[in-house]
Amino acid sequence: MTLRKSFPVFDCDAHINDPIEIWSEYVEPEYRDLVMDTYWKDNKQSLLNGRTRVPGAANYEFADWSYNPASISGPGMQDKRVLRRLQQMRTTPEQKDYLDHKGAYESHARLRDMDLMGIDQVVIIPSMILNNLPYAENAEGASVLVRAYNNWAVDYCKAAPERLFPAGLLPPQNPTHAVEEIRRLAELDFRVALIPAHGRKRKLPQSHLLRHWRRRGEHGCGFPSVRGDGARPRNPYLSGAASGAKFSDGFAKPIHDERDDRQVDHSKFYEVDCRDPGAIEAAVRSIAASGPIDSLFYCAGLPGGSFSGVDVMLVNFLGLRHMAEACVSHMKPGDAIAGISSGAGMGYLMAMERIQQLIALTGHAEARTWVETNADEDWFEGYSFSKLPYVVAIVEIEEDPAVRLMTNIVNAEPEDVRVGMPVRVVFEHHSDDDGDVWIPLFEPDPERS
Amino acid sequence: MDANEIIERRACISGIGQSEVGRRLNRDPFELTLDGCLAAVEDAGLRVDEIDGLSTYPGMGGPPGFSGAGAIAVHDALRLELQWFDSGIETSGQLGSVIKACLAVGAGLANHVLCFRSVWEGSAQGTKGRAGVMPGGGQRSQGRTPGGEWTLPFAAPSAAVWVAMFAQRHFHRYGTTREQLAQIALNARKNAALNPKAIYTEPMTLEDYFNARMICSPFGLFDCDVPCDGATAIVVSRVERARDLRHTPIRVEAVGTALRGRPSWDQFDDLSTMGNRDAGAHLWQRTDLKPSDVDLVELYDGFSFLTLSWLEALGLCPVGESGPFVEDGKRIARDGELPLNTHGGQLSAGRLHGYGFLHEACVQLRGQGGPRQVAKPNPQVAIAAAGGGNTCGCMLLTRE
Repeated sequence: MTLRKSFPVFDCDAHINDPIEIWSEYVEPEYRDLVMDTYWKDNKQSLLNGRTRVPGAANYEFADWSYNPASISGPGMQDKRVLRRLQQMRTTPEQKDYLDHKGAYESHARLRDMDLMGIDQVVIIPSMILNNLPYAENAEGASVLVRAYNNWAVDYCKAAPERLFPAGLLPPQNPTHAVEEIRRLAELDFRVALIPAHGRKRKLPQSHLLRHWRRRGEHGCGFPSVRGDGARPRNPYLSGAASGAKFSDGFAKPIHDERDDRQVDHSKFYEVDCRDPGAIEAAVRSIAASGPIDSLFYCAGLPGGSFSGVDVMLVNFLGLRHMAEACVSHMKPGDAIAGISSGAGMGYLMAMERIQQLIALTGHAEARTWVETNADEDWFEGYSFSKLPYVVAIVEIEEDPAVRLMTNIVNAEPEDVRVGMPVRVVFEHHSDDDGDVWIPLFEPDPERS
Repeated sequence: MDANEIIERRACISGIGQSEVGRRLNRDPFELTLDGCLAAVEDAGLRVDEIDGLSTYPGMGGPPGFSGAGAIAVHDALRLELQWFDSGIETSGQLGSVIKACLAVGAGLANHVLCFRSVWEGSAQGTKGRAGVMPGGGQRSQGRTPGGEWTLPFAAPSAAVWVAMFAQRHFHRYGTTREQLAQIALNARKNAALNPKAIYTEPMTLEDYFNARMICSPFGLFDCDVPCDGATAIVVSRVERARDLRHTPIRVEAVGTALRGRPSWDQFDDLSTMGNRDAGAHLWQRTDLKPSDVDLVELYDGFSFLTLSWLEALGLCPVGESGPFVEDGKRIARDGELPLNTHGGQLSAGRLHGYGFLHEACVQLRGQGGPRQVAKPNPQVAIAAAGGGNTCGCMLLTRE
């Protein structure tokens, strides 16, 4: 039964609450142990990398007198005040069961909900897997799991294939597997796929995921980060294989202009060592020979860890810059260049002086020299930017020592901060809908040190 | 001072009680509160209808888990007929609520005051830990944190950051070291092993302490207390009414409630002492007993540094010398000269938030510590102290 209405309604973000059967029935038995060590959910817990319990949005995670917000989350319920009140509300077990909408797990129930709400079609999206999968350390395990999820999603949607559409999940750990899965999903008639990102507003993931995020470099895994405020570019990026990075326009889905009926060839792969400016230039020349470049998506990157700091900087920044410069002359106004930024992003205020030194060197060779010269400095080590702690201090105002301000000490190495050190104010400007604010921060005062 | 004016002397502790204590009990916080309350009333040998006073910290409200129930809810649930009641958060630490009860019975306003402190922070914080309930860290402050506008913009939302800075100040001024600070955590863990209700009982070595992740320098994980669920209750009675009750009354010899500097976490004149300095000094003004008379101490360890601060504030060691005082770990051990936090403190026994120290002081003075009873026979004098910053209070207790 559908409501009478004069327009179709399509929900492209219809979450399901990852049911346990994805693991218990869709992960192939021979990979069970592997996936248990990667990301596992059962009727007791959700476990990341075999050692960290993570929220799995399962009913048992919520008290008997409470309810599971994952199955009924929606607009307005993200407001923290509302959420807090809801979390303290008491429910009976019957109420708890009623609120746990079965449509989050089971397609016929979903169709009934859709009918009640007047929704014609949905794309179903997984939930906690999106949050947790980026931190899985084992690329193969992640690939097996996304296959299991995608197969479950196909079955879920069989109840009404003209109304339920699965969004395919891709493993962020390994680009090659991701491409293979894209091809498999295309055979299964998926219309869309998604890749989970580390997308948090703060600099670092939640504390219980932090150690996994730090270790991902050791396993040669990276993952894309696609959210962040404009001022502070966020970090990681897709890693390539081995010591270089594969440049492939199979990844960068060309923005196809409908008015232009040029056929774009997806099948060209060029192997480029992104540390090598000559190789970058050669590749760009080859690509440009077959037609203009509409967009550049530079997602090559090295995650630090086993890669040297110099290589990290060469691929993640200098290669990006060089490639962008090489491409630009083959692009036209309005075309897009996207890069996934790296080391310079984290704690950039503290590193500002050094960043400015580096970007002032516009040539590849001189910038490389700077990088190599500084490669042995403590602050330079691969991902150390991402590990910078912040310093909170109480500062006494010289003009009136009875007045103190709580503040952050900036533009100083935390190890160099000392009780009693002379500091001077630095105002940081912020503005939002409510107006402008200047926050007083303090930096070492060179004139009185 | 005329002894007659030391009103708290007219009060005694006639009963103590505690609910089950656990990391995440996921039990109804109100039920937990009532469990603790009823246990204390029973321990006193009283009937519920003999309770005519009620006092609690902090009352209703606070971040999730901070309070299991307020005074009115308990008053109603137990169907009490009260002559006096009080609750509130702006007081001399968590024990301020017990001190007020002493004043009420001293003034003749009530005979038996039930005091309680219940928390369910373990369950409330769930898997997200404290960040889930911190202003700025997981939820907006919305004016709940006084002075939040001076701290949140700098990612300094809680006492973990502020007290860490005070500890740094103490380190800088007196040369105190992390190794010395560690003794507070190590001592607590050792004692917790003998406490069946403690949360963490596994042995901890100095290496374990240093290997734990840093929270906010100089505090590592083991310098910070462990959130839990539990309710503790105390019955404060008029001395004359307590003599024929179940246990020998624990006398309240003196209390300390003073706060002389600016009542601010960051504007207080001596950040390395906080308000503990004033409450500690105040207590000694109200008694002829001396610090050297004290047999055992239960001193707030929400953060390890707070215990060092109380040792100095209470004159148990000279100002600035709490580091060397605890350094060998022997003096403060259960069989040492000045046993400290014999139940495992909040660092290991659980963040029962203030009342745990008073409860334990009474257990020890009564000689009911069992395996964790202090080695010295017949302890007579104990101190329970709770709080830090601008909310601190202490009580000097004697066995009748």
